[in-house]
Amino acid sequence: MPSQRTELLQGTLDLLILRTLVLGARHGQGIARSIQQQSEDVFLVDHGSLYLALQRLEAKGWVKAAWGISENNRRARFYTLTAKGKSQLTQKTDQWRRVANAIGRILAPSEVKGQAEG
Amino acid sequence: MFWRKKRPWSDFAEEVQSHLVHEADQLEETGVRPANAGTAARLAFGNATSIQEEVYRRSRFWWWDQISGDLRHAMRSFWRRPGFSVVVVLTLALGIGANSAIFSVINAVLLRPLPYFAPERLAMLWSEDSTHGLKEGRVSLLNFADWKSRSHTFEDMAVFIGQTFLLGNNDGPPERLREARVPTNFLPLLGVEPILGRVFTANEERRRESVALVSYGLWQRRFGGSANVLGADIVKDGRKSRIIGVMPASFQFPFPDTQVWEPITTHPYWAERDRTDQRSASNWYVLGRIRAGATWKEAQSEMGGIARQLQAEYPENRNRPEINVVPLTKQTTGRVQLSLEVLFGSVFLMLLIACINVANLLLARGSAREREFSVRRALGAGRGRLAAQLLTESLVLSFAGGALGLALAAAALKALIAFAPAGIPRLAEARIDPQVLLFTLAVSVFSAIVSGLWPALRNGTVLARSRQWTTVANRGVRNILVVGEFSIALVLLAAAGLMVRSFLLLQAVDPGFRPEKLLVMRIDLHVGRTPAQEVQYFRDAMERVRTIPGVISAGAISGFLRSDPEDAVQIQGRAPQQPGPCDDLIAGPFFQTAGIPLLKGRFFSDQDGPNAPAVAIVNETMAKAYWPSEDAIGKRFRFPGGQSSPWTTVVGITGDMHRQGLERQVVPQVFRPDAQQAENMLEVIVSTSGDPRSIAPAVQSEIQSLDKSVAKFKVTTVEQQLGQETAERRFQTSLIGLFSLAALVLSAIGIYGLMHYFVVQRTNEIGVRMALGARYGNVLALVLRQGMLLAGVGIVIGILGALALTRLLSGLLFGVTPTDPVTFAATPAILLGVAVLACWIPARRAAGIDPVRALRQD
Repeated sequence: MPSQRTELLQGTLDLLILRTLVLGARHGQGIARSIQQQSEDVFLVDHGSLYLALQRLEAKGWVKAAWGISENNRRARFYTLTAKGKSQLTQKTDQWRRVANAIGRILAPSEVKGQAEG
Repeated sequence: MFWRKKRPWSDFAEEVQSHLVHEADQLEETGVRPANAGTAARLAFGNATSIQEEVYRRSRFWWWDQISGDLRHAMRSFWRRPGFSVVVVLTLALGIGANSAIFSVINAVLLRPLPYFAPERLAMLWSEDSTHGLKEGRVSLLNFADWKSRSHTFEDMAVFIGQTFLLGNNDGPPERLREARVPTNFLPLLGVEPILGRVFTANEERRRESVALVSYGLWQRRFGGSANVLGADIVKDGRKSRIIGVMPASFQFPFPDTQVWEPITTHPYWAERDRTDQRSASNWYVLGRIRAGATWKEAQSEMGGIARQLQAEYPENRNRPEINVVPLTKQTTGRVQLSLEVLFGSVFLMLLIACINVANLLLARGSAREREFSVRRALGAGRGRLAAQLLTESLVLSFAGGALGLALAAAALKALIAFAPAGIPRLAEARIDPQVLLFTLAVSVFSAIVSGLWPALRNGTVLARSRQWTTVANRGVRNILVVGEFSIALVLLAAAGLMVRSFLLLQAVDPGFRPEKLLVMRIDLHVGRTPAQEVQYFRDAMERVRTIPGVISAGAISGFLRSDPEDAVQIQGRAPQQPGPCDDLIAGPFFQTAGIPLLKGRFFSDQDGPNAPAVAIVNETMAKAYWPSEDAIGKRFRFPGGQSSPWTTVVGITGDMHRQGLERQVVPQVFRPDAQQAENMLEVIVSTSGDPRSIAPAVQSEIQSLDKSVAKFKVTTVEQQLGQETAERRFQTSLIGLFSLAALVLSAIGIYGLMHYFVVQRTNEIGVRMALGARYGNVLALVLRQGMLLAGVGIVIGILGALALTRLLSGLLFGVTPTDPVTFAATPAILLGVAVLACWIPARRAAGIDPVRALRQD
């Protein structure tokens, strides 16, 4: 539902892109779709900023890109994860989990309280 | 990363396109109508253009694109206005070129280190007598030994002495050259080694062996640059020395023309050192090296202490009681440092004026380009962007000016070296080298900033506002610039005025003799004649010269245009006093030939022979200094010392003669007849009725036919020799004069440009004024008043600046104070006159405006 869509948190887009690419090479539009679908349409991916992120990741050497033919027989630029990108993904995922857990622990009591009141 | 192949711009655009197509495909699959799918895809993407720009900015050296764009734009716009560009580039080339030329001289003379090991720790040590104004006196061996053994700040000291000799090798004409006699530690102290052969050993020094090191120049010139020179003989004054080494070409120490170095022990004074009164036998030079980490202040204060100790221990030695430590770099360049710094200062001021003119031109052009800037601003160019564009333009102009300036500098440098007086150390080494290139680059950037920054800020900031406002603000800045230009020009003109005044005053000094139509030649008989033969030779020489048609008379003196005072003199009935007068021997009718008047008493005659009582003629200064209230005629004096001279009677008093240079005070002077003390080297002077140069060859061949064994000598005119003395002053005066003239012309152009602009801007207003009844004269006055106001303010500021700055010149002035009223009255008048002339043309133009046409303009 559109009303439940939310902006991505700062810095999470890179992580999501890397995660998406673990499954194999994808073009930009595929990545955007994939993120949107996997988040069950919660995340709103601004397609423009996706390409800025891709460019950044490419410059860092975490992904590499090559032109190829897409599933519907059109030319598209496919991105794949590099070894460097893979290790970055592991690191970032761990980091993210720690942050998410910590925030979850902090937020949990008030959530409980709010539910009780409601 | 910059080495990665750049992703082409179109590649990204294609990717975006591919994305949109895929997105649309997908939307169609979910049931969106194809017509709407494309739009939806574009909506989902967001602002494609701004993303593309963002990608472009990140992926490329966009600033490089911007600069190269600015560059191309600048080139195109200059190309379209070649007149403007040529004027700006020439103005900057003039300023930058003059700076680079003077800098290359300064770099060679002052900045480049001397070619010795750690030259900053080397110094000359002099004996000093401040009560008699002696700053750099030579040193006695005994004093030197004490200095060396007692000093701790100096890690080593060496004594040396100079001498001239006659090179008598058979394979060339005899030549008079300079040599140095030095101890074994001399070259190690300097940290210099021969490029061929070896230095002499302590044993050779002790045994007083005749071994010699020769200069690179002598080796090339007289020994063909061959390695066989080692072991060959060099014949000096008829005696042979064995050559053991060749010094590098860059080595010119202690004297700039030193050709041979020999052990100090071979010098005749060294052999005599035990016999004479030693502490006063100040014949030696002293070189020293301070320890690493020691300062010149420490060295000077330690030597001061040693001087006081020696004074206490040897109270009878009152001669030259102090010690003066002069760092070698200062010793080498001290004399020219001030004049070079002044030149550099003037040339820099000239550059500032050139930059101001260019700034003015750029501002004027900025006004003309208002439309262009307004459009660019409206299209989204930020202030910074416009300022960057303007700065790029001035950088382009500056670099063009710098490149042309460098070419000018190279040419100017050749001229400088060719016309510079002899005696500026290491001037010949001046050239356009990497340091000069770097300096030129820096000056070009500096000029770009000075001339371009102001217009850039002004235009970048103000342009977005109303047009009218810009114009007014612009004029304010341009007024300030012209005021600044006039103040700087006044400072420069005042400096030049003071130098010119000094030069003229110096020219007007009465030398005390008649230098016109006078030839002079130094004839050196050298060794091997008895005193009687020497006297006879010069007598014959003068006799022969007198027979040449056109010669009026001939005389001789031991040194015509230079003389050193004796250490001491004793007037009969008084104690010896220090220092003494100068003492010279003369032969023949010297005074009559030189045109020196006899004030009292008599000239020498044939009766004043070797066996007659010793006689002397003194100058007026001497008579007044030693016998202030008495008649000097008949008084007696002598020169004390090792072998004191006989009591000598004063028989005549002559007028004073400026012999030590026109800038110096006349010192007491004694003349004695050579018949009573023969000399093997005299300067023969010849007065002629016509042009002395046309007679010179006849004089030379006549004297040389007398005795073929006498070394060749040069005949010059006295005016030429005096000219060499004033050449240095003439040189620096003309350079400063040239710079200030350039400044004057540039300022005139500057104010002309501004007033012209003023008139163009106010054509309308002037038209109204005239329509309302203003007359020709009123309009003329309006423009002139505006111009004079600016020039006047600039001149007043300039006078204040000049009063503060000309003090720095005082070391170069002669006969005028740094605040000379004549200069400070004339300079503003000249500048004001130039301003009137420069404003006259635009004023005339304004007054000639036809009111009807002026009013129709809008």
